[in-house]
Amino acid sequence: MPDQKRTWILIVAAVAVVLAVATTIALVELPGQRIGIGREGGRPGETALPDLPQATWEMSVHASGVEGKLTGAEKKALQRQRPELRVLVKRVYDSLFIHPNRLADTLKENFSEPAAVSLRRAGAGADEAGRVATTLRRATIGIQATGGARMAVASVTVHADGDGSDQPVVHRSALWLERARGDWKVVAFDVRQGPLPEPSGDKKGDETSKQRGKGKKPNRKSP
Amino acid sequence: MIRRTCILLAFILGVSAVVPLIGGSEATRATAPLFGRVHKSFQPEKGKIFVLAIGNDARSGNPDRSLADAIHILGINTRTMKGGILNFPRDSWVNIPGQGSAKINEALFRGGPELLARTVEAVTGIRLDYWVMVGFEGFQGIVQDLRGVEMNVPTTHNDTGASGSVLTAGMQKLQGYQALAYARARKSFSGGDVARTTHQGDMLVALQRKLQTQTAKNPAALFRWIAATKRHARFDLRADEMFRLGILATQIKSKDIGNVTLPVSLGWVGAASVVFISPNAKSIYERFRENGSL
Repeated sequence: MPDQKRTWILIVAAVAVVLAVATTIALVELPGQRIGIGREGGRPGETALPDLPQATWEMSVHASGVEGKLTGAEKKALQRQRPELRVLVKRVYDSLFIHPNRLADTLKENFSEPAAVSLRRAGAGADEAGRVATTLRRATIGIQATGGARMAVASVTVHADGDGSDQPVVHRSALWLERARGDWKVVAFDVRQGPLPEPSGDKKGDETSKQRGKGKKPNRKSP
Repeated sequence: MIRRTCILLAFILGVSAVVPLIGGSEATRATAPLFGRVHKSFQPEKGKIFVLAIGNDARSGNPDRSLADAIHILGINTRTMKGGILNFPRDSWVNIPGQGSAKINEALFRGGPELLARTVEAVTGIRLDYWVMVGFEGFQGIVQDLRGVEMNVPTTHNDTGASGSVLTAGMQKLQGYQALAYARARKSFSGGDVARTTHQGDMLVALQRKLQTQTAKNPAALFRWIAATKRHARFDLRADEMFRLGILATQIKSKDIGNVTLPVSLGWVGAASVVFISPNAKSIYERFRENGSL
């Protein structure tokens, strides 16, 4: 009996030592990431920044690719996916424009590997946190109605101001999404970004602009 | 005592070491490419995808036991985002694996889409990744569901006695029944079967152009195309594979798709009128195989 007691004491002590060592390593190795708290509750690595005005999201989610009425099961499947897709889209574009320091995490968690690599190369969005004010954020999400709502596409328009650019920027993109094992992932995207045309100006500048923001060419990426 | 403690401690540490590995492999699986049907070892990273498009002559449905009226390889290079359509005249005299020499369209009758795919692979040396097959009714249905296709008809023709295609030259929107008749018409064209297969290739390019135009305005339009294809065609793709192929198709400009018909010469085998594929076709196969585009 005393032997058994000693064994348990040793085990508990060993586990406590392991946990203490792990905690110490984490605190020693990650001191820089614990400085500062960002907006919206903050995350490690974010410094406090002045609030810039951000447009309210205009978001609609609808069924696509269906002729006629949806069955009860299809309606339920769609209803279940709506909130998740809304959250994902907001997360992606917040990471692109408002919190670029969250982009790496977002790409890792919400993008397939090839799509993540492509988006990095596309260079869309803001370079630094807290420097972009959005004047329009609009998303239309279409979910494939049949087959259990496993595919979707989000068409997003963001008008942004700031980030060192002299002119407001219009960003239009499509995110192609697949749901596997319960999680939505962006598997491909299509981005166009360029100067926002003057309200009374030539509309062509918006749709067919060959100039991207910051002098880059428009990007069209595939999976 | 100490030994038992060490074993227990090792177990605890072992579990903590293995858990992240499980997570890692799960993540790898989740992001692994999902293509690969005709050949299980298909690797999309090679950057080229080849699909065999088959039009059979069944009036309804898509039975295996029918002849192939339309045979095309669709290629996409995912790096250059260029593509190609290689058209086979249906009377091409080829070797069908395990069956001897015959017209290529008989491969479908003798062994279904799989044998036709193997035959095309043997002829061209191009490794096919998927096949998709549609019959008369299905083709008409797809075009109808997509509300027509805009085609540039090269010559005015009246094929009333055969396919029923009666069209004037120029750009026009063809409805389902018109598109089917035009895709079948050959007697009114001097090139006969060769002209017909080229027109079929033109129609595939026109459909891709329509897909691209529609999805540029509204990306969700792709789901309507997928639904129409699922309703009317047979294929060996999973839904997610079709989705990804569809996305790829939306990204290619129709001007970057080459439409090439195999060079052939007319001839006879016994009483049968056939076409012999020219030896010059080898360079086309090679270019297509290497580039994924034409």
